Amino acid sequence: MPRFFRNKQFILVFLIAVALIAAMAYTYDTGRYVTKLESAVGYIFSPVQRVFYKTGKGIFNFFSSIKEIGTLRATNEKLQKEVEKLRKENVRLQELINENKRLKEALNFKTENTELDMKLASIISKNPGNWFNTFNIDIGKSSGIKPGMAVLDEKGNMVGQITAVGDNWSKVLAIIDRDSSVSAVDVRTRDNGIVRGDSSGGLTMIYLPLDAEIIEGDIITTSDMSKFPKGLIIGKVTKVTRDSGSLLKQAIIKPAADFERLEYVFVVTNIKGTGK
Amino acid sequence: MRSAYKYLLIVLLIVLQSTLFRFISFFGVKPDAVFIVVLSFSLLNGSWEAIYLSLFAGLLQDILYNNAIGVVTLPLLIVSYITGLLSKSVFKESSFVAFVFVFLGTILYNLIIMFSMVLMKYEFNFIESFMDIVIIQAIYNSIITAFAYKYLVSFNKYLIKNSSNFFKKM
Repeated sequence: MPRFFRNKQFILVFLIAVALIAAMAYTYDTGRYVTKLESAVGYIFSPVQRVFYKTGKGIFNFFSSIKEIGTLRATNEKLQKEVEKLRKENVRLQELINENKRLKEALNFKTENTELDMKLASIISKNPGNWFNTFNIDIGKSSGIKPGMAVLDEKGNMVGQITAVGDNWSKVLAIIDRDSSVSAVDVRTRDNGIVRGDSSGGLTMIYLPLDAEIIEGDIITTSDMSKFPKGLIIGKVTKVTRDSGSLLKQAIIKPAADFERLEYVFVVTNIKGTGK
Repeated sequence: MRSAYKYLLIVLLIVLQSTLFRFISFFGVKPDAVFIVVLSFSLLNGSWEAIYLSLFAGLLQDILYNNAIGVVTLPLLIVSYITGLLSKSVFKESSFVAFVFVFLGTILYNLIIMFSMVLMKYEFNFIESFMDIVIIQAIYNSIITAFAYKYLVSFNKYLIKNSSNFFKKM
């Protein structure tokens, strides 16, 4: 072993390793603007990646549409019915909104600003590894993007949050990443919990009290306690479990956003001052 | 300098890896072409090459995609450096040797990533992740290596033969 320590190359590798561990500790999840150098690397890579990503998307869509042809008719019928139902519901909700507004005015309530300011971005690449679920989008600091902003898919479902911002690109941490946790609430029962990812495409809602009335099929949205605007749809409950011995419940949640087919995303530029 | 081709190949593979390759995932696991190429060159050209290439490939990937810089670079550096050191005592140009190195290397590489994830307080089931990701990727990577290694060997020969006199001794 002592011979090893006299080897200059080994010492060099050792020092680099120590420097890398320090870099890891320093850069880990601080929600930061990236350095000039990092920003430049992304600047150079972004256009190339965008082209390749679009190409890959095209190929993928071609093959998956062939696979789906058989089920199209059934899906279409189901969707048609769904549209009808939603249309009716929409009318009813519109009435409720109007009524709500009138009542609020009558009571002199200050209405919260729940309007979302959104910026459109397209995805240019995804994390090449198997451990982390992050992806890059093509807008950054120059478009007013800040770390910690929520990212939604085309239909307004929660996809993730911005973690690092370059000049014209940003890294997004998907909610299905192991490192992601979002404060969430059950729309129907108002049970609060934290939604975490498992990196294999699933979500788990934890810290649910034992008396929570959460059941299968409930919609989960962001709660008012996080830094994100409230009411962003996260997903649907598929299973509720209870750890024996623990005083809490857990719920398995199917994410509403389709992470395989994401192409465009919206970045919500209003962010609350509270939270991290 | 023709050795620039090596770096260009790595850049190209990083781009492909993050864009096209996710469409060829197998049981939800993607192969790691960048890892295969860096490890192959380390095996062929020794430990200095291992240091240069792993720093180049690792830092680029970390800057572009990962939350913590070093997550990929550190395991890549360790695995390819060990490969570079061991390469002196094996028959380097055999595809089978490369197959074994990539198989074991992928496992070590992922174990170091998992270890750093533990340090970063990630929560995950160790055994499950090991079986679902690491073993599958090790098999996937090493099978690709078995087919691709001879092309990398001839590419490497081409680079050495045509490099300027200063590098001829390599």
